[in-house]
Amino acid sequence: MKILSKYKYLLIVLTLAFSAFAFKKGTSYDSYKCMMQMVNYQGEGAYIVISLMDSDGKYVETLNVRGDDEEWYEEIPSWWKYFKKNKVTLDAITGATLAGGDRSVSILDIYKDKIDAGYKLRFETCVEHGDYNETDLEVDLTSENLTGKFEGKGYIRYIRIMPQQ
Amino acid sequence: MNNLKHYFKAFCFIAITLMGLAQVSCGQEKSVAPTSELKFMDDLKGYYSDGTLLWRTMYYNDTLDVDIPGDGHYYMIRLSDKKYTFPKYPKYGMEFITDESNEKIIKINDFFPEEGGPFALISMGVNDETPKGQTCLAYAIEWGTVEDVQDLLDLGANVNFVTSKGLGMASFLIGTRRNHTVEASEKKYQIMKKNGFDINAKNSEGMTVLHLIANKARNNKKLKQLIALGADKTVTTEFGESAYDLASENEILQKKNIDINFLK
Repeated sequence: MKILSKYKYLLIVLTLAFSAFAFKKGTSYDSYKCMMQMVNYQGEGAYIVISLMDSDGKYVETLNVRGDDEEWYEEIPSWWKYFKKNKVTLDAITGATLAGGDRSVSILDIYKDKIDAGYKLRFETCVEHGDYNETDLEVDLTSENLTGKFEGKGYIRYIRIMPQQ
Repeated sequence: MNNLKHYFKAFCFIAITLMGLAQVSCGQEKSVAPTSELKFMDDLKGYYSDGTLLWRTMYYNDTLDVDIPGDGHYYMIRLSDKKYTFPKYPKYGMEFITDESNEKIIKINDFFPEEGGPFALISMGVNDETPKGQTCLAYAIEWGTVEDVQDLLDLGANVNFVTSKGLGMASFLIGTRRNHTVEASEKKYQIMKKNGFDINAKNSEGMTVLHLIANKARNNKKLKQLIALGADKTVTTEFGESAYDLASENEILQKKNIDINFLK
């Protein structure tokens, strides 16, 4: 009986894990291609964090992180405060840093109920021995904006968003 | 609640054991029995004890004992630098390739820092990529002779290989390396072309090498080299941009007012 109760915990954990997985993979989100074109600046590769922000400017979800050396995450202070508290697994959504003139496509999974509901996409950038841009770029998460080109203020020259086919 | 604690403990124990095992197996891969001796005779050249010439200047504490095991090509990593151990960040990697008979080392890339080893030899196939993002062919194109390029293609190196950093072989063909005289680049290019190389090939993000350079260039030298080799300036990205469009958005080219009209 003791053994059974032990397994119960395992079962609960597994069930929770699978249900979280199933929810994520459900029909409630769409994938979007996000092409980031960097300014041709000189210096180290930029760390970029793409976050979903609510209407109060609070972090809701981390959609993509460029740069996989966690030691540097502290240099992105606004996001770091959120990330530290809500440590989520970033494995599936990280990539290499982007240097001057680089261009790269990331896939963003966006929940349907977040579109046209007052949310924003925030692009935060940080370069070693360089600048930190809390809002290098911010776009309202509207259905209209999910196909378009937007200009950055810091290390990002522009981004293009489009639904993934 | 106690059960949960218990389980957490067990889980940790298993995880740590697994991590330990993984480390042990990595360690086995790294250790290579040293036999022959590598000596550094002067600032310019090093030799193996059998007289084999190494290619590059290196500063090294004493000697490095290595034996080239098996067939093929190798690269070398420094093991003592824990932060940059294989396979993720061999920051101080030395890449070199051996010839077919596996006796003579003909290429060495990069250099080790003053502190020294221990090092490990990692075996690689002719079309494997090193953690630094190079293949033997990429290296030969960048640093080697026309003959080295031919040899590697004869060995079956893939001329249309795109590295995980999105670089095709053309990226290694241009530049200011000492082996990049106009004639050498042209000769290498002709050999590559014969082996099916397409200088206008697109990478996974739909960019040709001309596009990539237009985006990252700080002067027009490489762009001119590419055009001279026959890169097609009319090819566009998936967003309809030509190399000229990209170059005209390039802040550094703009700032320095560099001529890009030859891309029109």
